[in-house]
Amino acid sequence: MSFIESHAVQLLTDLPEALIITTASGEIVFFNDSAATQSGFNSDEMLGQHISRMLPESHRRKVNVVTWLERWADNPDPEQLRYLSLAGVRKNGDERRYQVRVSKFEDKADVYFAVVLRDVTETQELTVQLRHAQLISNRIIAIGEDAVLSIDADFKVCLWNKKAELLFGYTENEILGKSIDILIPEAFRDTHRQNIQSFSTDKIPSKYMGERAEILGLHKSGRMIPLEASITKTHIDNKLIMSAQVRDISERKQSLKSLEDSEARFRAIFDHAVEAISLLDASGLVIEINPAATDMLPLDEYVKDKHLWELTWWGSNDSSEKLEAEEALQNNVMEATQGNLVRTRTELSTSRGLVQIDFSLIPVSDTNGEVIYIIAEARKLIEL
Amino acid sequence: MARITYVETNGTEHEVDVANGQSLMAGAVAHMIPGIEGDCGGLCACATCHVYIPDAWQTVCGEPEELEQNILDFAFDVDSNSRLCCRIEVTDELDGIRVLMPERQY
Ligand code: FES
Repeated sequence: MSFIESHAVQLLTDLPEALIITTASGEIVFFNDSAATQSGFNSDEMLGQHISRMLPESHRRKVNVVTWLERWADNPDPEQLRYLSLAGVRKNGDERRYQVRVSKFEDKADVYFAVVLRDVTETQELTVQLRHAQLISNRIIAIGEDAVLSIDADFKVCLWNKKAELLFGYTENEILGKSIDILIPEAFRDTHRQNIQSFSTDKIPSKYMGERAEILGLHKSGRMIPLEASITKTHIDNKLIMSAQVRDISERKQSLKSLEDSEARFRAIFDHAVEAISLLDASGLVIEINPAATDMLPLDEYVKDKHLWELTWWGSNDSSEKLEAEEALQNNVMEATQGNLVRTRTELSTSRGLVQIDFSLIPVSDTNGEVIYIIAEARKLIEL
Repeated sequence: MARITYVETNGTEHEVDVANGQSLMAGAVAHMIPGIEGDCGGLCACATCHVYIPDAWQTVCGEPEELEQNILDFAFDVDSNSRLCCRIEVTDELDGIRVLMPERQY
């Protein structure tokens, strides 16, 4: 012990923590090397100075350093000391934040504070930045169009956004800590669990919607919801969290179905019509041609992506007549392109000879009045 | 339950429903409202949940206790309307309150 006593001053001077000893009124009587390194002030400059030289008062905060040193010396509150920091300033004017530990000791009638300061500026800034980054991502998750949820290694829900609440009917309070099973219809629970289990251990970090089969979810009300989900996992510090972005695809499935139904109805008419029909785009290129047309005009080549008038069967066998007929048809198509209905009688050369037909070009316009399709219709009149 | 409007310094208003028994701080954090941090989680030990309570609502919110008054020393730009909102419990009586935030909490 006598060894420590004789080296006490040296020990305190060399202490790796910044140590300052002040009188009860805040006058500095000891300022160790670490305090000098941390603050940029040296011991000679600071001895005899008030501690507020280093921990200045601010017009924006009421903190009185000496009052708080005394409070904490008498009654150190670990929570406060963890969260509160005193604003300091280095000799070069840099603002710093110090976490403080204080003890009080008495020498005869005099009271002293031993103050240990830890510079937490960077840590605090980093924490604040992280916190704000988290706030931003949380707000993004909250407004997301998809439901977002996370589960832990025990399959318990640990994150739940607003859309998830709307999709499944459970509020955050109701679902946090509950098993994900309740979101899956009973018949599929085991398979779903096995799928998650194998995802949790396989090598792939994420799987995307479209790569995964559609799943069925269960609304709080008992209603089944067809869902698509992208999933991802994070395994940090031995803690596994699996997150999913879940989309309700009932509407999409419904519109796909309506589209398919409407296509089927269109097909029924188009494919079974007695009249020969061809659908052209606004420039006269053939998009579709129906069976009645191919039947009437046994086609010897592929007709799609050609202009109607370029098809070899148009016109008679005589080449000059054929040219004439082609020109006439091209003019008629151009006429229809302008939005005009064209009706003519004309001849077609087919493998069975010349055929006279009643031929119409019907322009179809969009809501802006622009022609988007032309329907070419041919009705056989007489086989010549 | 009370409808609370938290007003950021830039004027952005967050109108949210907070359940009775929760603190004004917890309500703000749960609704991810920027400007109220609540670092200590409501222990009255961090001064990062500082807000201004309009005069008309002061009576409903009550008087700050000594600990809160002391910790307010660490908040920025404190005035007579200042409170640490982790110390204010939501009740039906607070329905309609507008809580203003300070420019900074750190
Ligand atoms: S949340 Fe820390 S003082 Fe209010």
